[in-house]
Amino acid sequence: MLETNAGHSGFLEIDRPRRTFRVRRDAYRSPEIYVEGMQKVFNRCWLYIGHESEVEIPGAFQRRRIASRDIIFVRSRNEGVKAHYNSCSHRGVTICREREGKQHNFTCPYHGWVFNAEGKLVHTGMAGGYPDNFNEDGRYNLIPVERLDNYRGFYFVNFNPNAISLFDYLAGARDMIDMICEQTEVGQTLIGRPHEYVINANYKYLAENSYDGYHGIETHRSYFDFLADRLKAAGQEEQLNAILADYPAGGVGGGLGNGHGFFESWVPNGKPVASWIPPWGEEARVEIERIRARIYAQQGEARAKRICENQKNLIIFPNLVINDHVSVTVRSFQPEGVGRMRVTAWAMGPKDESPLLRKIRLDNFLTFLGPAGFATPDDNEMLELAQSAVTHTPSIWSDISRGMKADDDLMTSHAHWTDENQVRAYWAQWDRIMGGAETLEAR
Amino acid sequence: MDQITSSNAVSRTEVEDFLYHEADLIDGWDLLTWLSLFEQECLYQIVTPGIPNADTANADDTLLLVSDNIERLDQRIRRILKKTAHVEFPHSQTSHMLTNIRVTQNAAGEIDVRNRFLTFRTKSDRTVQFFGHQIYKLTHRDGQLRIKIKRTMLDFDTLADQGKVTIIL
Repeated sequence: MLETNAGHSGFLEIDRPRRTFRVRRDAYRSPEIYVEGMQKVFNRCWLYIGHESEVEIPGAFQRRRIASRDIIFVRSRNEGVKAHYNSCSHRGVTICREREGKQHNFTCPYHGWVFNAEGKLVHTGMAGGYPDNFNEDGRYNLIPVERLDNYRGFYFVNFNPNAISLFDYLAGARDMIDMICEQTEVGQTLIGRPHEYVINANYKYLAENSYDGYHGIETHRSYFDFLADRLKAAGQEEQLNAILADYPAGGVGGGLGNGHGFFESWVPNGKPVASWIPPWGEEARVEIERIRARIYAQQGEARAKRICENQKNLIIFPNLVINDHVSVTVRSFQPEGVGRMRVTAWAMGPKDESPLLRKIRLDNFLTFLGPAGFATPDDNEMLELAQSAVTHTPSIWSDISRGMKADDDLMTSHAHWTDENQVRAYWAQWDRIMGGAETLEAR
Repeated sequence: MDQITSSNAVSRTEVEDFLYHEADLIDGWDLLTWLSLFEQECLYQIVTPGIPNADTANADDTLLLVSDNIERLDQRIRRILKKTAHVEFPHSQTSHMLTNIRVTQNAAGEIDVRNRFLTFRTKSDRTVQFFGHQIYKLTHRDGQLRIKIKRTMLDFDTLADQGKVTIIL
C-alpha cells in the first residue's frame, strides 16, 4: 500500500513493498510550512532550555531564546528553578539584557519596575501613582513559561499547558540520558561558555545529520584521514581498518518513541569516560582505568561497556542533540527562519573530573567538534548545500529509505546505525504532529 | 644567552614585515610555507567569541575554538588543503589586514606583539568578516623571526554572521 498521507500531513510518501520513504522538499523550503511547523511542532513539544549546572546557586540566571521566545532561566531563592518571559509587565521592554549572571532582582531599564527571581513585581520605580492593591492578583508579575520541568538536571519548557509530562515525552530517550548521568557519581556540568553559530539551513537538516551513521565516511573523509594518522603514530591503524572493513555492522540506530532517535557505535577516537587512547599518555590511562573499573562494578559489564566505550548520538525531538563521544556535547538548535538556525553547543563533563581529564576532554572536543573542528564544519557545509539546492531546484522529493523494511514500526524500529531508521522516526513524528494525528496531550 | 644583543634585537618594522609576509602566505593559500614560520614548540589558538577574560582564558579548562600544537596545526593545514575538506572546497578567498601593531621585547629577548585585525572571507558569493585582536610571542634567532604563540581573540559575541572558522586567522 502506498501511504501518501501516513500521518495526514501529506508530506511523506511511504511505499512499503518498494521499501521507500520520501519527504516532500517543501518541508525544508516552504516559508508557509515553516510557520505552520513552528506553531504546531514547537508549540506542542518539550524544548530544552538549560542544564541545572547553569543555575546551581540562587540568583544564577541565563537569558535564552527558545522557539523565538525570550526567556529568563533562573534559580530563585524560594521557588527553585523558574522560567519567565523576558518582558516587563508594564510596557513590554526586555528586562534582562545580559547573557548570564547572578542577581536576585531584575530591573526594567525603562521605568524602573523591579521583579525578583520568583517573578514577583517588588517595586514600581518612582514613588506613588498606583493603589495599594495594584498587583494583588499578581497580574503584573512576570509571566511564567507555561510548563517547566527537568529530567535528571536537563530542563525543558513546553508552551502547551496541557502537554503530557516531560517524563512520558522523553520515552526511550530517558535511558540514553541515564547512561550519561551514570558516568559520574556527583553529576555532570556544562563547561564554561558554549560555541554559538548559525547554519543557513532548515533546522530539520541538522536533526537528520546529528545521528546519521551513513554520511560519516564520505562527509568526514578528511577527519578519518586525521584519525588514521593519529592511530598510525600509535601503531594502532588496524583498529580503524577493522571498523572500515564492515562499517554498517559497527553500530545500531533507530527510534526511541515520540520522534526521538539515536545511534550507538564504536570508533577509536577516545572518550574521557572511559575509553583511553595512546595520545593521552600513561597518567591519564591510570585515571581512566579507575573510572572504568568503578562503572563496570556499578553497572555490570553489558551496560558499562555501552557507557564507557560506545559513542552515542541522541536526538530529542525536535531540536536537542546530546552526543556522547569525543566529549559529551549538548547542542540545541533554534530555528530562525525557513533556511536558518542558531546552534548552541556546550561541552559537558563530570563535576569532579580531574584537571588532566578536563583538559583532555576539551582538547578532544576540538578535534572533531565545533565550528572550527575537523568535522562539524563539513557537516554544516552539507546542510547549507542541501538548503541552497532544494531552494533553487524544482525537485519534489528527498529520500530517506536506506535500510527500510516493509514491516518497520517507523517510530521505534532499530537496525544498522548506517541505516536511516532514526531519521524516519523523526519525520514520522513530525508528520503526525503536523497532520494532527498526534497532539502530545494526555488523552 | 637570551639577552637582547645587537643580533637578536628587532625593530617594529621588521616585525611588521614578518606579519605582512605571514598574512600574504595565508591569503595565497601557501599554508605549508606558513606552517614553517612556527617553532616546533608552538601554540595556535582562536578563542571562543563572547567568553570573559578572552586574553587569558586557558584551553585546559575553557572551551576554545582552536588550540593546536604543531602536530594538530599541521593536520589542520593538510586537511583544509584537501578537496575532501568540503567546507573549504573550492577554497574561500581571504583578505587579512593588520593594524595597531605594537612590539615589546623583554630583557630575555622574547618579543610580544599585539595587533588588531580584520579579515574577509568570501565563499560562494557570500562575504563575512572576522575581526578582533591578536597576541603573538615571537622568537628571533639567527636573523629569523618565528612564531611561538599566535592567539586570536574575536571581538564579537557569537559566530551568528560567520557560522564557522575554517580559514586560518
